[in-house]
This record gives sequence, C-alpha cells and structure tokens, in this order.
Amino acid sequence: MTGALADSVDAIPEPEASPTGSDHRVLRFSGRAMASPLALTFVADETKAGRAAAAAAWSAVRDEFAASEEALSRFRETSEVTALNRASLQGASLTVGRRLARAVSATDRAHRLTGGRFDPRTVGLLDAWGYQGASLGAAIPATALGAAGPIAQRIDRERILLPSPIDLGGIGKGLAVRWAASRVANLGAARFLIDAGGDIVARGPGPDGTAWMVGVEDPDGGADPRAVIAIRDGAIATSSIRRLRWVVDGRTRHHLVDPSTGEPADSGLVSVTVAATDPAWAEVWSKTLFITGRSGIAAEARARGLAAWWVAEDGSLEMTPAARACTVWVAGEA
Amino acid sequence: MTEHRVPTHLAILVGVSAGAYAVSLAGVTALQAGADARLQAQRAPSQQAAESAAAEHDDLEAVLEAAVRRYDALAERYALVGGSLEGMEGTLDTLANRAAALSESAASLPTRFSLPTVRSAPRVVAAPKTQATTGASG
Repeated sequence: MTGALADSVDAIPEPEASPTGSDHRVLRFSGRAMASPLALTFVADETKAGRAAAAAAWSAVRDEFAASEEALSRFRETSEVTALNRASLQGASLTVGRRLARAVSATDRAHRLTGGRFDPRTVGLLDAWGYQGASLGAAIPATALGAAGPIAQRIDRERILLPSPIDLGGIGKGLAVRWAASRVANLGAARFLIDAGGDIVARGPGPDGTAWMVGVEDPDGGADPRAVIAIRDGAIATSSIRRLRWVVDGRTRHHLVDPSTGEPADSGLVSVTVAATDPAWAEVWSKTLFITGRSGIAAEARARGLAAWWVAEDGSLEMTPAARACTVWVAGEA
Repeated sequence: MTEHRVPTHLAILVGVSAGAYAVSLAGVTALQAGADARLQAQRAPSQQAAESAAAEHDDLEAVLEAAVRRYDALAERYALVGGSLEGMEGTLDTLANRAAALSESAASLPTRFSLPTVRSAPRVVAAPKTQATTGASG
C-alpha cells in the first residue's frame, strides 16, 4: 500500500527578510511515504550553501522514512514488524533492529500510560474488517485486544517476543517524523517543518520569523481550515475518521478501534488534533482522546495539560485552554 | 632732768604674755582650720548633690525647651491643617448639593431610549497563510 518516493522540488520565490535583515528563501520538497504525502519546508540562506543544506535535509528525511517504513509498516511483506508478527504467531522471539526495538518500547509505554486505551493489538480485527496488511501466514487471534499484560516481552536488548501481533499505525509515522527531524537538526538546520500526511514537526521560527502556521483541517473537506495554529519547536498530530472509513457487511468501519469494546470507536467525534513537544506522543494522545469520546475529551485533555482541538459529529469545533493559547485564527470569529 | 627705766620684770612679763598669746592664737587657728575642714567634709556630699541636681535641672530644662519648640511647631501645622479641613468640608458640602441636584434631574429622565439602527457589513478576517494542514495521521 506504500508507493515509491516520487519527489518534486518547488522553490518558492519569496525572498523574505529575517529579523536580522538577511535574505532567506523558503524551499519546499514533497514526495510520498507510508501511504501519505511527505513534505519538507525549509528556510534556507539565499546562498549556494543554503540550498545545499536544504537538499541534504530532504535527503535525510527521505532516507529516514524509507528506513522507518521498512522497520515499522505491517503492510510491507519484507518489513521487520511483519517478520516479528509472523514469529509471534509461532510463539517465537526475533532479533530486531534499533528502530523496531524503540518503536515496540514506545508502544508498550503508550499502552501503559493511556490506561490501555492505546492498544496496538488490532491486527486481527482490522484484517477481519478488510483493512489487511501483509500476510502473516496464520490466523490472527482477535481476543488479544484489550487484554491485560505487556505488549511485548524483551528477551534481551534486541530480541523481542510478541504475545500477539501488533499494528504500529497509531505511532509509527510519529516516530518516523521524530527521527527525521532529529537527523535534519543534526545537520545543523534550525528552521524547517516536516509534514507526513498530518504528522507535523516544526523547528525554529517560521518563514516570516515568527511561528509556523498550521491549519486545522475541515473534516467535511472544505478548502478553508477550521482554525490556524501557531507552532514553534513542537509537533502536531491528528486522528480522524474522515478518510479511512469503509463498509463491511453493511456496517461502517474505521481504523480507530476502542479496545474496551473491540469495535470502531463510536465517540461522537470526527477528528482530534493534539499539539505536543514530540510527534509520536502527539499521535498517541490524538488517538487516545478520540477513543475517549466527546463526553470525556475536555476533562481528560485539560487534566493532562494537552493542547487539543476536536471536531464533533455536529460540526462544532472545541479546544482546551492550552490549545486556545496557540490558536491565532478560528473560522467564524471576527 | 630724770631718766625712766622699764622694770625688767615687766618686760619679761610682757614678752611671756605675748608669746603665750601667740601660741594660744596659733592653737585656736589650728583648731578653727580643723573644724572648718571637718565641716567642709561634712558639707561636701550635700554640695555635690546640690550641684548634680542643678545639672539635671539644666538638662531637664533643655528637654522641656525642645518639647515646647516641637509643640509650637505642631500647633502651627495643626492650625494650617485645620484651615484646610475647613476648606474641604466646604467643598464636600458643595458636592452634596450638586449630587442632590443631579438626583432630582435624573429622576426626570426617561427610563429607556430608542437608538438609531446601525447598518454595517460583518467584518471577515481571512485565515493567515499556512505552511501545513493537519490531517489523519493514522
């Protein structure tokens, strides 16, 4: 389900004055990865070295996403997680690489810190509902979802045993964005934004020297955003059922499964957006809050100090006070 | 002509008497000096006390004089303030009279006003330019 990276480079000819008065150019690179659009917006010096730095950053982003997809995507026949899931069905452990090892640890931690609401053991259900990944060669039990106990057992530092196959779709892209941003920063870049189909990380000031501006998508598909967020040195992620929804046996299904019911979350929400320091945790909490539902999302998000925006089924947009603090525009407000 | 000669025994008697007088006089003088000294010694504490009392009296007098000066200064300031207070009371009286006049005027005002209709186009603020848009991350 993933396409090869097809890149295009658009130079946005908007010379802008930085606060210091020097000229910068905003360069935008785009492609696809993990079945999503992938883009890097880079504020480069108006020099040959600046353009080279931007190109090197894009190369690092592509490379990281390629490596992360090969490690974490259950839709790839040759990915490490597919191999680990197959071993799980045989009751066997497997030695894995650094990325998958870290992803499994992060997933296990997210499972514990969300009280089990973030549960990656959805492979069996999603497969049964038609959202199928790579073949695992055996029937996948659906009863593991919501079960007590750890997601994985660490035999040693790199050898892992999974009690049940896992789907890293709720955290994998966020991890890839985190690692890609780290690689770009290590190259010396200070002003860039990576957007992986809605998993966003921003570093440093935006093109106009202030913050990066991110629009909150209209879940109804409207061209204008519902709100605009100002972000600088942070991450944003959204869980939404707008795109990934299908009908099976006359019933509408989507991928955000409630572990307590084993059914797609019927939460009264259409989308939840969370801003946080880290893109992976923004993704975890966006999914967790979606499953929490409309009746409890405000209290939960406020209690955790999260900046969260949510659109309900009736089309209303609400947000926490922390979210309001970084919202610079809301549709319908003068 | 005849010569008178003082009899020797009279001369000796006079001399002895003078000497005895001198001795007794010296004795009395000594006695008197001693008595004076004793008297002076007896009187010394009282004298010292009297001198100390006089000194304290001087100090106290200085303190009293300073207090009197401060009192006079305060009295002078009070006199000034008192004059200001009288002026302020007069101002308050004037304000009270004006407030009463306003109350009477307010009582005669209507209870509701009809405002003219204001027609204006709603102000639409466009969304700022964005570099990204949120979307389902999975």
